[in-house]
Amino acid sequence: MSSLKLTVLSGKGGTGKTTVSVNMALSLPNIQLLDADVEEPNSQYFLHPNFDNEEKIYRKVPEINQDICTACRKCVDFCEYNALAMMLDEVLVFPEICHSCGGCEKICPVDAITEVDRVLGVLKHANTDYDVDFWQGELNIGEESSVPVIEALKEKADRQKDVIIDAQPGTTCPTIEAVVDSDYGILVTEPTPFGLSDLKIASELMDELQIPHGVIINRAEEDSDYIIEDFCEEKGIDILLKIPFKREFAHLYSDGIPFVIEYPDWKDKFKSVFNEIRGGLNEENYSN
Amino acid sequence: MKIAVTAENDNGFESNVNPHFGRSPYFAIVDTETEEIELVKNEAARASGGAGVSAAQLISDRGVEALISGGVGPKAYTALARGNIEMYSIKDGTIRQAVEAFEEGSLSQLTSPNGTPRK
Repeated sequence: MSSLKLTVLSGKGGTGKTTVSVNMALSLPNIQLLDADVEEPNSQYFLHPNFDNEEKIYRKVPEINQDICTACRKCVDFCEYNALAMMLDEVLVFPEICHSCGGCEKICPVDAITEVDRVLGVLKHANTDYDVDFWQGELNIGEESSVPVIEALKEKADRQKDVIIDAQPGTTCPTIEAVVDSDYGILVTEPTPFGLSDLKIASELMDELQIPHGVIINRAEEDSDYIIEDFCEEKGIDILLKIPFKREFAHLYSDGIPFVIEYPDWKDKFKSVFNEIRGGLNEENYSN
Repeated sequence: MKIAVTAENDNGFESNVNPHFGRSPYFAIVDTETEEIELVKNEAARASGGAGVSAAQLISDRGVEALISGGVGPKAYTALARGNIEMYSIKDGTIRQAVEAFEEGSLSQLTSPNGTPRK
């Protein structure tokens, strides 16, 4: 049985990516969880990890040698991200918004620019009490681009295990980076018009990336689930699971307790969702 | 002297003041001696990042010596300060009212950035 790498994502924030990621991870053997929501990694509040390893993530930013700089302004005009400014004939660097493309260094006609390392964030590892091999990425406050942290985090994926990646909400670069080389995407949504609207965008993204995907409805309620169900039926997207809108689940959430701990029958549900995904992908590979 | 006021719209001295700097739709560039006004569209108003730095560059390039806006974020503040551009705070009103208040000396000067950087 080959290892499966799946990413849990959503268009809308707050739909339950972390709830799904953590509870699913706790339901499976030999599992690794990567929290790639590096601007606010929340899985830790449910796994209570004792971190045993830390790795800093660096990226390159320009440093200007003002003695050599002739204030020609070529670098400022080149920078698409406004990370450089020319004030009173002096080039200012705003490293937080630099995308580390290296273009300014190349374009400088007098070699006044060198690239230096800047700490962008950190990766932290823990073997948790729950027997989950857990890594999380953290982006430093004020940094604009989280992609390099997510790239480095994904290198920690242990393909001897199944891997669950908890992505950032939205459908922009950080989410794409998290999911782009996954075998499967679980789109978590809620039965509201907002949930639907962002699910549509997330589903379009998955089509664009040609990644098979299915939907989990969180905070499901009988009289509103049709909002999501109608769309999924029309698009032919599987609804993998519904997690009901239950006061008990909300209580456990607010206490930082994954609900599968108190309701172990849900472990079976998550396990069968995971096995169905694996089965479906194997079948697809077989038929190809 | 040339001053810049962040503007909501393109209606000369009657344009409304916009409280944001980097993402202001327009900048009114006013020459206080000649009383000439030019409204410059802020092409970076919807940039994903670096709008404040871009705005600081824009007004610095036009020889502006003082800025009137609601508040200025940290990166823009750094850029403006290094460009020797004084910053003054105003809540609302028209460009005309802002310029008059500036000339009367009744605007308070910004001595620190406000707001948080956008993600």
